[in-house]
Amino acid sequence: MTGSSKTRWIIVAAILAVGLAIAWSARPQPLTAAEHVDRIAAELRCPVCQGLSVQDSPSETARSMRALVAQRVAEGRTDDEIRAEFQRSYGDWILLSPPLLSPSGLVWLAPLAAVAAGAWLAWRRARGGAPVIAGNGPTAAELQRLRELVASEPE
Amino acid sequence: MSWADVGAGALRAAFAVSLWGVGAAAYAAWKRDARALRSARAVAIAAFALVLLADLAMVGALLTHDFSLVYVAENNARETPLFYSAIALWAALAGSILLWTLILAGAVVYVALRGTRSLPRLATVALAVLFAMLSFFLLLVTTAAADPFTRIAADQVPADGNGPNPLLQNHPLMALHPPLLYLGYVLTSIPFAYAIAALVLGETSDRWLTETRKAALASWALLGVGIVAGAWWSYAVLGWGGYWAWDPVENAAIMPWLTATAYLHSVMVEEKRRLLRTWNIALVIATFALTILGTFLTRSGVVNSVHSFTQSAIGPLLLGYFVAILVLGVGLLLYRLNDLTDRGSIGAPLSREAIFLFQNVLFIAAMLTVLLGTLYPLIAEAVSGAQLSIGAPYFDRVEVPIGLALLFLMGLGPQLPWHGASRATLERQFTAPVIAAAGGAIVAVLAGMTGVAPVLTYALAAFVTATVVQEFTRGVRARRTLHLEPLMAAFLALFRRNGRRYGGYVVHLGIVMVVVAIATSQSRTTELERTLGPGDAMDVAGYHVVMTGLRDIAEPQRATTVADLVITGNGASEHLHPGLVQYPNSAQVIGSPGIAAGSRDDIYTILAAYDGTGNAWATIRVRVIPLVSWLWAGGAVVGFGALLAALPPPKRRTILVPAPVADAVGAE
Repeated sequence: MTGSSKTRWIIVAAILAVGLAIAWSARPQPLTAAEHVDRIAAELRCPVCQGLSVQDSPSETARSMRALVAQRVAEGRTDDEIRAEFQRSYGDWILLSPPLLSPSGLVWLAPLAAVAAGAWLAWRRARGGAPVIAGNGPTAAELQRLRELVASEPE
Repeated sequence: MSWADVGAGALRAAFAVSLWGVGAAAYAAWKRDARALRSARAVAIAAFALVLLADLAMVGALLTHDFSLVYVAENNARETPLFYSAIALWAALAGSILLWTLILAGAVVYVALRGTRSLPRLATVALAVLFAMLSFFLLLVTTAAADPFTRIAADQVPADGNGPNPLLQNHPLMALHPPLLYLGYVLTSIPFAYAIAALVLGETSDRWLTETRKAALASWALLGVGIVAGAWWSYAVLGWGGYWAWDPVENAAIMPWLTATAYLHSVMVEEKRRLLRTWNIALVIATFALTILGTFLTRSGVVNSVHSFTQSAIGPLLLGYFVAILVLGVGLLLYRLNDLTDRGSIGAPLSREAIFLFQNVLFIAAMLTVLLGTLYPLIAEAVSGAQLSIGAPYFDRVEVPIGLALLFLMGLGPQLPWHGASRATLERQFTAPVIAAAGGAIVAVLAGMTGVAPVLTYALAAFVTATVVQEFTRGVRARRTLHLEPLMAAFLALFRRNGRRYGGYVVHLGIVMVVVAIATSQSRTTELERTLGPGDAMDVAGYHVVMTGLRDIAEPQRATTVADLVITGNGASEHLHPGLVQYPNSAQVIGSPGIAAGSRDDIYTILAAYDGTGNAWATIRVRVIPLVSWLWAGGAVVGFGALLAALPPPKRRTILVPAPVADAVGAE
């Protein structure tokens, strides 16, 4: 085995290790009830705060909303049902991010489109071939004369 | 003569003088008139002195509690401590615009005295542009839009003032965060003014860009450090245990920082290969325009409520200024587009310049996401009347993947040579970093991190760190071999010889600290809330928290109730006093968290509620937040790295150069 191919194996193994670690960290894990409540509360806006979520806000209102979420989770409601309940009482405004399947789903697609379009443009520029040196190359006549000069050179 | 007479008079004089400066500088550039240039220089100093006088008059009025001024009556009270009286200069709109104007006047003096020596014509046009901006801001502070010296009718002067906003008199970081941010904002106008000057003069060389390198770097660093200081303030004051909420004001600050970061990198492609010239000017214009857009969004009240738009006179003026900047910048850029077209192209996707290009794409996408998320609720409400929110869940989901991709490129870019890399180069440069990445991922898993983003962050952080360490060890080894220098001398010589490159690596290390702090604190915070009587205890993440008592503290300017906590465990022994503060001018009670900061974790305690009748119980919320102090430290490292990068290059010894190069240099 040459030194270079050994290095290549080490690199492949290391990348594989990173991939495995990420796959391991992404394995589905059962949520505890508190984590479940946190997840929903993080998506709800605290109505009396400046842009804080119910999960983050220490305010009294947020605490009672959180308690309601905990109660609904304990009753076995799904996330969608709980969100829909808050949406009915407060309007769409209560959700901190618009659902993908709504007119406002646009805000999810726009960044994706920006990255894709930008990456495509950048890729095209990056692949654009070696820089061209314009104009200053020898012409056919000059080349001919050069050949003659070389040919007439004494040995 | 009152403070108001001095201040208002000085600002009006400064306005007149600044208008003269616009004319003098423009005339000097047009006719190449040395006398006009001298006049513009003198006028720059005069304008600065006058604005400084106005700022000092405002501080004087605040310190002497001169309530005949609306600004003082609204933002100061007799009980306000001296320190908070002085920094109330930037506690509200009119005062902060006054401070902004002072910094801008300073930028005018800098360009007038330094810039016009090295690059007369270009700098003179830039000076005219800066004088025009200064005139605009002086217009704001001398008209109803943001006049800080508006007086109250003599028979209605109150005996005492309102006092500053409670949140702004609760923490000394208020002295640091706004001025840093304003410095960063205002300094972006120097590269902008030079870029405009280059476009006006049809100057297609990149001298404007080398000339403004320091200003661009300084504005970027001050914005970054100012943002981190703001996050720290938010963490220490707002009492929810977080530091970033994707609030419109925060978004307004991060947007120009994102485009400025893109610029600092893409500018190297222009210096090295004369490519991306149009793009770089566009980034400079965008960065400056975003500082004004952010100011407009946050100062006109348009973000909190669309309806206050018509009430504030400063809103339309700032919007007009923003539009004017955009029209001028984009118009000139389009006009000169043909002169700026790149000759040649990048050529290889695995080259440093290509990575800079991809990095720019990601930074712009990140900025557009923030812009869209901030503006979309406004647009939706204006168009359809629908009220909706866009907050942390949206921004986190979009920005975290972009951030991770950027982190990857941060390790990739500096290790790739210009013009493209061979397979052997890739192996030489990336073997150690990739092994480090595997180590980082394994450490994260062993530490019990869950979720793709935190584990990937650790892997990439290790990757980037390894590339930086590799660069330093190779640099030091080369110097030791070539110059026979001892270890430390070789290390320091790297900064002295090539501060820009090695300072940049230090910045990268600071960013790594920041992202590790964010990933860890966001995913590994433990929280517990309990209602305790005196003597009761709770246990959180290995800490034993005992509430020994609850007491009231009366101060002239506020009334506070604090819980006394004794915390032991994990080798710590801390006394913390989270409280709730009532200021007479505010109906709302302000939380004042008790924080024990540590290099491993912070213990963040909040008094959530208490028994108001007999102090018999209190609800205590304890958050144990790992590595969060690395965020502030990382911000400081970024600032320090920027300082190193700004070190002047050493004086070159005379060297023999081939004739064509010498000719080209001589021609400049």
